Amino acid sequence: MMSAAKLDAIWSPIHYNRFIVWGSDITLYEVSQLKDIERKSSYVKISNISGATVLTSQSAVGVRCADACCIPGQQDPLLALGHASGRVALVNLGQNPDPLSLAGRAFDNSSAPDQQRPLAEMGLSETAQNVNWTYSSARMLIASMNSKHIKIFDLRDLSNKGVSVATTKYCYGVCGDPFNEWQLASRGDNVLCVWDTRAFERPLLSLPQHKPLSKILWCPTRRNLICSLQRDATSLRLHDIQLIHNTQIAGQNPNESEVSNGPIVLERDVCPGSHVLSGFSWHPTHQARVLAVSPSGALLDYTVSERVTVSWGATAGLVWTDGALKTLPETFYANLHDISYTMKRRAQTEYGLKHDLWQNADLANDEQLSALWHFLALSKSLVEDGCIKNSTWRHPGVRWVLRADTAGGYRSEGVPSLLPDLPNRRITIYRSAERTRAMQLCNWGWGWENVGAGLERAEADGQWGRAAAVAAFHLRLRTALDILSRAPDPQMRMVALAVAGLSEERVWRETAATAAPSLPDPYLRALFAFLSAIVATASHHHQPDYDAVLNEKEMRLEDRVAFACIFLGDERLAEYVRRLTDDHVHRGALAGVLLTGSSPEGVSLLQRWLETTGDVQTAALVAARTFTPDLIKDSRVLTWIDSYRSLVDSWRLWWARCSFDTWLAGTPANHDARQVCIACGYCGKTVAAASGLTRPARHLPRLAPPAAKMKISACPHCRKPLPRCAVCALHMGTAGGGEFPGWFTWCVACRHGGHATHLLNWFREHTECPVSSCSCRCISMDPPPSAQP
Amino acid sequence: MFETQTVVVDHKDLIHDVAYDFYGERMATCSSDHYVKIWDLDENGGWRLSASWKAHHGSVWKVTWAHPEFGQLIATCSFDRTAAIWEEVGDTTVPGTERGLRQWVKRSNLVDSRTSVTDVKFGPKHLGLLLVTCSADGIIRIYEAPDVMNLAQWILQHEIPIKVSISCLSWNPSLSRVHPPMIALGSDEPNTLSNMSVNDRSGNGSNDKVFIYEYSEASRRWTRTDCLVSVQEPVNDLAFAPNLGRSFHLLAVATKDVRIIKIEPIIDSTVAPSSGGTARFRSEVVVAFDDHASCAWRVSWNVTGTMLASSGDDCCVRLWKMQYLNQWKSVAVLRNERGEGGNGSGGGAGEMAVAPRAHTAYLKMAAMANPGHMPWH
Repeated sequence: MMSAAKLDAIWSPIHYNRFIVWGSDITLYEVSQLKDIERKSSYVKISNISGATVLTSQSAVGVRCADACCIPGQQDPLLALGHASGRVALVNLGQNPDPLSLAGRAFDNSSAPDQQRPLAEMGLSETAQNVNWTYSSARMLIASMNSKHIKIFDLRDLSNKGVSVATTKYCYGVCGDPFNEWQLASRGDNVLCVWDTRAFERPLLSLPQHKPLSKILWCPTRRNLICSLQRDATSLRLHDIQLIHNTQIAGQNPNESEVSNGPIVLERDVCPGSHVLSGFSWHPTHQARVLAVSPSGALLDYTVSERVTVSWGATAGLVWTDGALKTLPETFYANLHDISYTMKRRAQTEYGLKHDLWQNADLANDEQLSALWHFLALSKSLVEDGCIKNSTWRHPGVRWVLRADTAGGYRSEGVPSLLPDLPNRRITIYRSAERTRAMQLCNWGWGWENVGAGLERAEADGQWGRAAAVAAFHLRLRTALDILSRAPDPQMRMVALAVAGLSEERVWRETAATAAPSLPDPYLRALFAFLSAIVATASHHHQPDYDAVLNEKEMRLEDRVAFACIFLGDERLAEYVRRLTDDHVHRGALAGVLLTGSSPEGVSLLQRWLETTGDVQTAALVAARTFTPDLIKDSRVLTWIDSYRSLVDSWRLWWARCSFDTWLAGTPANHDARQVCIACGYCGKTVAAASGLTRPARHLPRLAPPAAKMKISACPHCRKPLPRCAVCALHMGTAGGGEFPGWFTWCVACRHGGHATHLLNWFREHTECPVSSCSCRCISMDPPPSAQP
Repeated sequence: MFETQTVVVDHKDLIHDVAYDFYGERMATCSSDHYVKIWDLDENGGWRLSASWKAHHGSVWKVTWAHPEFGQLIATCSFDRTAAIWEEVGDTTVPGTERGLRQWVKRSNLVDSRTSVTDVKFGPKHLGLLLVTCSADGIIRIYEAPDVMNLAQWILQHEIPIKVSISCLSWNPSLSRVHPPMIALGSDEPNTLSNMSVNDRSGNGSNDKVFIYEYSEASRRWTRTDCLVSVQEPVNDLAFAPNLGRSFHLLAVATKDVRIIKIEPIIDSTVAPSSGGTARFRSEVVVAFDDHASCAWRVSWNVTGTMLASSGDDCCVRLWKMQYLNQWKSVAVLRNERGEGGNGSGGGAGEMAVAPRAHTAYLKMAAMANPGHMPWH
């Protein structure tokens, strides 16, 4: 039955790092981590992290079967080898002497001396293909006999009466379930059978397979899992038997009385590698670890991974299963730099909720967001100071200010200006009130004459290149040179040298054109591009070509726009701003808010920003802080707001949620009504509004008594009495006034209620409703976490 | 690199599902041992068992939490053909005495399915208290509790036959008013092209595995509005990303690989939502990762939908992060390896633990190996 090429593996049941491979030879291997055995001479790599070294090997000619001894305390595995001759020999493969000195003994059917007489003999004159012990507490032996029976021998009764027999042709390879003493498995040609020895007539399950099975084994570490190997297969098949155990309980339920509680099997194939497999062995203790052997002798140490389930929670992060549940520490998420972590951290710092818009910029801790809040603050202040009038939007952008949409709305005045150092050059600059406002939005509010203020600021920030470029854009070449020469970077002084050589000569122009693009500072590149453009203009009729400056994408958007506002004619400016806006909206580039402001275009831009970064927080906060009510009604904006609320809720950041809602409610048109009021149970009108109970000061200033003195015990509209507090039995509304302790509270299930403090006190000691006949467990309906003991 | 923390759950068998509640401060686990356990986060960030009970007569496949607005409510579904709704009631012991486990009461048992119920999910909060279940025989059932205070009453509102075995489902969590209620369904039906037993149940012979259903307010029906043709292999899990105001939806699918599919509604005002004739969506596979050797099992999004965790045959949990402009890349591989130490690796996906080549493993979650034993009413 077994060819010489047949190879199988056996883990030692007591040595967790040793196994035996037997075929024509028997070899004992020891498993170690690859890194530990790298220096040793020879090993077999059995997985990516472990290798096996040969301890001993011996010939196994004539050996038909083998098993390893599981007597504890053995230093080396003790093997029982069954020979074709019928002899069983015990072999010790290790170098250490075995304490029980069992090795070397042999048992034989014939001429047995007394001390080697078998304890029992059974199944006389029958052929046994396979025997195995069951895992039951009684000593039971199971055997496949005569190619048609499975027999169970009870060794407590040696008279051969305690035998159960099942007749089946699927009787081979019978083995017992380590977790269920009643369960057996056996295989036939193409069928895997599972038996319950208590009902041994029929198999519990027969699972037809596509190919003949060569080996089956129960998994020793997991319940109800059988692994089978099909002939010439590269994969192992796992049969996960799903039993409905509690048949009695199921039967009690009338709805389920007709259910046949047959087990069902989930099957799964795993491939330890690409080899055809000839044998495998479960590791005795390691979870689902299998050693597979291929006919060529390749060994594969494979851990069958369970279906790992993963879940991600709002606060606690990721959890996954690995037998137990695994979670990760907070620092892990911090290192991922994910927007969810960042947003939560920002939400905890009142980001976006600070009273002054610019205060939020520092909390963002992000350059782009910081610039956004600063711009919004600037835009707001310009509107408030009256620089920008009649704005449709609370925070207009450059595009609105320039009214680029309505062509011909204004006409700018072109002013020919002299370049001080090149007196024969005249450059046209454009001026209009609109352009001035746009430049104020760009933070270029210093004006043409007072550029020094802006330059000082840029220089103070260490932006030498920018300061020089801005000076040049204001045609202050001399100032630009001074700035460059003051810069600490020696490279800047070299640049100054080049600028100083400015001339109309072709040599200068060409050198500048080739050298400038290699400059690291975008502002210096822009500076050269600008100078080249103005000197290149051969005649006054030609407009200089500023495209190189306008398209210098690394320059800050506000500087590019401000530059355009100075040097571009009306039509080209409108076209430029339109193009920039579309581009920024399309890319979701946050800097584009400068152009759009909080307008429908701004909504589109923030939508794109949100989709590319996931930062719903900024979008929702910007909406709450700067959008007009009309804009908030946009369905996209409403979704941001709802999503952000839900997010903050799931973080339990109630303070942030509350301030966010306050800002939203604070948008001008939302001042109209309070949102919660108490209605009289009889007439349905609000109890408080007419009485002035909760806001006496504003509407009835002359009365202005402390609220506690107002005795309102009936509805002011229909004069019906207000409900009584279930604890103090007084009419509600009489005590406490607008203070929290006197608030109406009630259970939404039983509708009983009372004063808030009374109920809080009550539920500190009780779980049931204070109304005597009511057994409603009001407090457990929605237990506040802190209220739990 | 990072120490993982371990919670010993003491389930007697494989854990099939772990679910967080809305706040991520409670956790429910369910297992093949028929038990459901509830875990609460304590002040020190550890997880403490707060309840454990035998919930079903078979493997419990999935567990899911309702929005806390409806109370402490979970739903479970099981191999025993039922889904159940459980509510926590307060401590039955008098407060102040020894703190016992909290009690969960079965409020309702949904017994309509004739086969294993493979997934159960509560609907988004703004739709009311809705529950959808799917079963191995491919029937989707949508229940509604019309009175949220009476959790014993669940009305079967819709029953949709899909004709193929359904293994998983996901609600679209979008809060947008312009998106109608939407469910994605994943099928683990083996492909008819394979050498498995010839299976003509899918009728039209197509191997589509992911179906999108939408609810039409006008016709008050759920209709199939799309099949994602890009997924043709059995699906083990799928999940919509939290929407957070995006105009499109992201659906993660665990099949042979992990896929992220972008589903973009085509805004066409001339076509009413009810007329399902034209394509409603433009769907596009944003990315497909085959790092999980052969088969991915579970996918789960973080709260913002910017990171995805997936698990698969390679024993690893992998984290994928959205970079700018919807580029996705691996940011961490969390390896489950017993006794081998190194669990977390914050680095890239450079090294692999197993898999010299692609495996052909295949998990049948709902398919029955022995139809003769199929439990029928």
